[in-house]
Amino acid sequence: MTANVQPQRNGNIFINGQAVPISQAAGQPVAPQISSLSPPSGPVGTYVVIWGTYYGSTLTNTTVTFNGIPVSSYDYGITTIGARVPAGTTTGPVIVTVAGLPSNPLTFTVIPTPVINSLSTTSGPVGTAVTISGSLFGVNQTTSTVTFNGITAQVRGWSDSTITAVVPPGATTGPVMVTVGGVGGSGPAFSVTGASPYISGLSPGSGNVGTAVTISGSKFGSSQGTVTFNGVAAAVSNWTTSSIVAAVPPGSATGPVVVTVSGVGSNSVQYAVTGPTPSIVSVSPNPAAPAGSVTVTGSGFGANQVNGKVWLGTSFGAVTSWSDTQIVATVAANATSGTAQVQQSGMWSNSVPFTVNTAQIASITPNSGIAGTLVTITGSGFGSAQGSGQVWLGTAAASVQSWSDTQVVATVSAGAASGNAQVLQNGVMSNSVPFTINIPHLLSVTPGSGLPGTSVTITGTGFGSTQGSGAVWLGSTTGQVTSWSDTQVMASVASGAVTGIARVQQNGVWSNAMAFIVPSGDNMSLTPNLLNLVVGDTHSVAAVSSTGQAVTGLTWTSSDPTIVSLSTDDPPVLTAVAAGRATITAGTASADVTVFSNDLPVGTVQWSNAGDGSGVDRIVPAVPNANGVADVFAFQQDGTVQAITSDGATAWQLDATQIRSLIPDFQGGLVGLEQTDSTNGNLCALVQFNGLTGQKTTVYSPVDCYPSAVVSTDGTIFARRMPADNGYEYTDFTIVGVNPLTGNQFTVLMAQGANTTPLDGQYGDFIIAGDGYLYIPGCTRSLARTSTTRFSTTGSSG
Amino acid sequence: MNSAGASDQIVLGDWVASSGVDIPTIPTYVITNADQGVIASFIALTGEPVIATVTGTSVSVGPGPSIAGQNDAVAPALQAEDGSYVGTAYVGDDRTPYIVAFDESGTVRWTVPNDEPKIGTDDGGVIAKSGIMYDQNGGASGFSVAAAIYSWTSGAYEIGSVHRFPSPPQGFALGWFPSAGDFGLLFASHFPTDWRANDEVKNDILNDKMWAKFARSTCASILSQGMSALAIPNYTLTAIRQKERQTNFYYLGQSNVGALTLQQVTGYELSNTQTITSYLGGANAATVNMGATKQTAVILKAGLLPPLSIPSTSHPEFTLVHELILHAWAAQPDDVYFNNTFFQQKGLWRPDAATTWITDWLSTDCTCTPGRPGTTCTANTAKW
Repeated sequence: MTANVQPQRNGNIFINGQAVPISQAAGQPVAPQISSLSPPSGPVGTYVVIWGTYYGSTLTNTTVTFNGIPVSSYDYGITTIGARVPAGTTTGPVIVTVAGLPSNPLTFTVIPTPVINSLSTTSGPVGTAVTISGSLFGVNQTTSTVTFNGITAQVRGWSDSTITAVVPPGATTGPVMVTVGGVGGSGPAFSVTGASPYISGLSPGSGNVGTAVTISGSKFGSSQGTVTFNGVAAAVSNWTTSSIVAAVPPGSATGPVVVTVSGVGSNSVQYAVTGPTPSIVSVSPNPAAPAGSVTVTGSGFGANQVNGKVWLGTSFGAVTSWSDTQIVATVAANATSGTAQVQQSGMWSNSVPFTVNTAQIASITPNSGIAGTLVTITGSGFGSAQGSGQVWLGTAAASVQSWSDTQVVATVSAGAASGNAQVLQNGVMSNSVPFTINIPHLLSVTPGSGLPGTSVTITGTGFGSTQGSGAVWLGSTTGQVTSWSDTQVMASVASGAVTGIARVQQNGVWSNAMAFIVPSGDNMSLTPNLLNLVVGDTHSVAAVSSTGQAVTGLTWTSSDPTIVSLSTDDPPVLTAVAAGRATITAGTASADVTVFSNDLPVGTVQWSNAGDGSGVDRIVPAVPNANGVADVFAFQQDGTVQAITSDGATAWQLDATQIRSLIPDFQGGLVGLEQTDSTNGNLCALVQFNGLTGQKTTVYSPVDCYPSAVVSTDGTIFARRMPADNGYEYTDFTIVGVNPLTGNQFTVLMAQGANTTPLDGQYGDFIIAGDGYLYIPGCTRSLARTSTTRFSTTGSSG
Repeated sequence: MNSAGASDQIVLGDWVASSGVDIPTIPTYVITNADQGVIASFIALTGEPVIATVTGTSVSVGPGPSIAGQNDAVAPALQAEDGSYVGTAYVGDDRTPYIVAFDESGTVRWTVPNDEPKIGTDDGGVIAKSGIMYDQNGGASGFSVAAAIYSWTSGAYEIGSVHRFPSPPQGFALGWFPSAGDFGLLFASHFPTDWRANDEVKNDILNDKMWAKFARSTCASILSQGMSALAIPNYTLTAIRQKERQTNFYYLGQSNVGALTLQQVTGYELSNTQTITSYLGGANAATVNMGATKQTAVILKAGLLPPLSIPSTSHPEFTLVHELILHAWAAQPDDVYFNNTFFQQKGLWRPDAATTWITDWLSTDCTCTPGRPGTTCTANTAKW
């Protein structure tokens, strides 16, 4: 031996390029070293290659053990030993011992072989649900499968000892196998009875109507059954037990092909119907009248209508005659201008602009007014007589004075607010033209709070070009006006004003109101802060602190007890005594009350709750329950959510700045996902807020912040459990169900199967349906064969 | 997936793609199908709209609604009272929204451009996002309260601060999902709600004004003492009114209501599939699933609510208070009240098997029972 010896600091020398400990080079025995196992895991009997060094030069002084169990025979090489995992082995170290010197241990993981003990039934037709009893199936299905003589079955339930699977289309008599982690365990044979047709392929896979399609498969039977293309029965020209020839039927569209034998349907395979595309050359008349008859000419419409349709404007027309080159149809009564298109066998033609002569407003004079203003609307298509026609001026139907096809005269109704002018005739609205009702309307109050003397800018519409008799209310009294225009008023907060509302009055009409806070030590407010009552009504008002807590022990006063009187309760009950307006004051806050003699005018609010003053973004109804007090939840711009009762009081509030997808539960409260880690936007805790108090309880953590949690009617809350890596891992899409009422808790891993994975981003919003089940739409894909990818859209339910 | 964690994967469609082809996303819109399951609307890989109807673990797949120029599948937004659906499709390059009404077979019933559905109404129509009301054929019929948000108690709210308006004149459709997004909850209700009956009872009859008068009545005092005598704790008018909010009233004068089952109106708390018409029989009213914590339903015979057609029920408030306090809240049968000596001392009298004697007694403000020999007692004299 020629040795090129190079001293090494770590005690090795190199002999022909291979590191050798100095001791071995010196002729002393060296312990073997295992570098890797291939594969590192598998069931008993797996052939494992043990890679390493210093295994010695003979077999006689070498032993190999798997977790202490010696192997009886093995293959030997200078750097490899090949051995089968011996019976009885469990997960543990592999050790090679040479001349009494053991190697380093390297763990081999033994994958247990699932054991099938019994089947609930050993025979039945396709579709039979079979319960498989045994062991080592694994707690969840994950990637495990069940096959009936090699055909993968749909699984309905899975536990470590029991599986429920459905005999799949195409299955034949043979063994049932459960495969876990790639290790299959066979059980008793299952005898498939009855006809269970199975389609393995279509040739060709696409074509036009009339194409002869060869359907390959099995168990078609010797007697002819039926074949459908997207639900339309096809004519069959040849039928054997493994092959069918059928023609694509007229009227069929792209969709599934199904073979049915003795009432048993096969699996479905998609067939794409192609063919001449319908094409429109002309539509006459165009323009046409609603409910009028039109003729569409062109080609490729099909000799018969079958499932053909014609689109006229914005709706389908009613077909009266149909040929390959001409269609006569009636325009839908509510159609408006749009396009004309023909659909045949699922294919759409070119589109042609199509005009429907509906009511069109050309002008409106005047384009603003107040209740009683006479307005003239000119245009076309109004109809020669009013009939069921209506005119809308602003947000209320106007009183019609005269009507012709080109002109309508009407007066503005009381209670109307600014909006649009529209003519409604024969169920179709005309174009809309803005119409302004000249009543003051607030859009913003800046700032929304201020001490006496603070200058406040109010923007809106209908204030009038000059102040005239106009006034501004800020808090609990009128403000000092400094400037006035139709869209903006500036005023300062009066001395003595307390928290209340801001609003503008012009020509004796008050605008809508917004909250206005006059800062004080307690920053309290009254809820509701605006009330409109009818004489005889009673209503409660409460004082609350800035944190939503009830404030008691205040002195309550009415600016005019002859209009609104107060009971001696704390808080008091208001009674509307006579028509008029009064201000109710308690502590540093006020409420504005208007009393009407009779019914409230149309469009008048019953009450207004200003929230915490930051502005209300969203209102969500609460579910009525004995354990909840809210009628609605008001989501404020500063992240606060308030529980508002049906009489306008704020029952409680919560800070929701770190909570997303807050939804009502069935206990009168709320459920949400609270972000728990500012560095990981996906990490949340599932929290619930009590309907009576708003108190928060964490019911499960961690969960993914997406998608939104949902609540079942029995109180069970469903959310996505956070994946193990706290990331966005689609292969671990696990749903957690928690019922705080019963303590019941479970997890379900979604959409797993042999070679099946969810598609990225393919799980949609959760929904609890009327049957009480959670449904999750989603897509999965599976590698079915070398050159193709199978994928499907699925829904999960119970 | 149910609340026990049992789940199924239900295949709605299955396609094969060539090697190298990017797998597209397939947005799938799901909505409840009453209490029978769901329908799912999507565009198949082959390009055609599909409706999959899922009932239990069974799936029926067929053509979905198709209109000219649609970009995506029609997204069902609500289920109308007759079981058909109303959804939204986006059309053309500018994605113009269309209301699309369609049935379970995917047949388009009507369409309206430039609008989106919001709430199904009890006449088969729809209130749209624009505020325009459309009838069952898609014809415009007027405007509703624009941009209102409706609570389960039929309150109409508008964002500004939180403004509450009187409830709209139009009743909502009976069903499990009559509102787009189901009132922002993203789930179907667990029972169909007779919105018009609830609105009429809670806002027009047993409303603030009535309860304010009732609070000062003789009946309020007697019932309070009587409940204590019967060892029924926590009797307060606040508790009664809270129970009123969570009680659903079903009026057999409305179409489609009478065919509902006891199982359905109690959100499956009861398993009885008897129809509420059959359950009510010849009675004026009946309470199902009594108790403060229960999903209680009160069934009202046709003619009980205004416009009145039955003279004997011209004061429905007495019947309603009878059902609400004595049954829905206190959860006691009529015999318990008839047999109670305290109530007997207060004038409750029962000459025969009829239970309406309690209603008659209530109508005198709990002072006497009309028809009792030797007394002068007139029905419907209570002033609340």
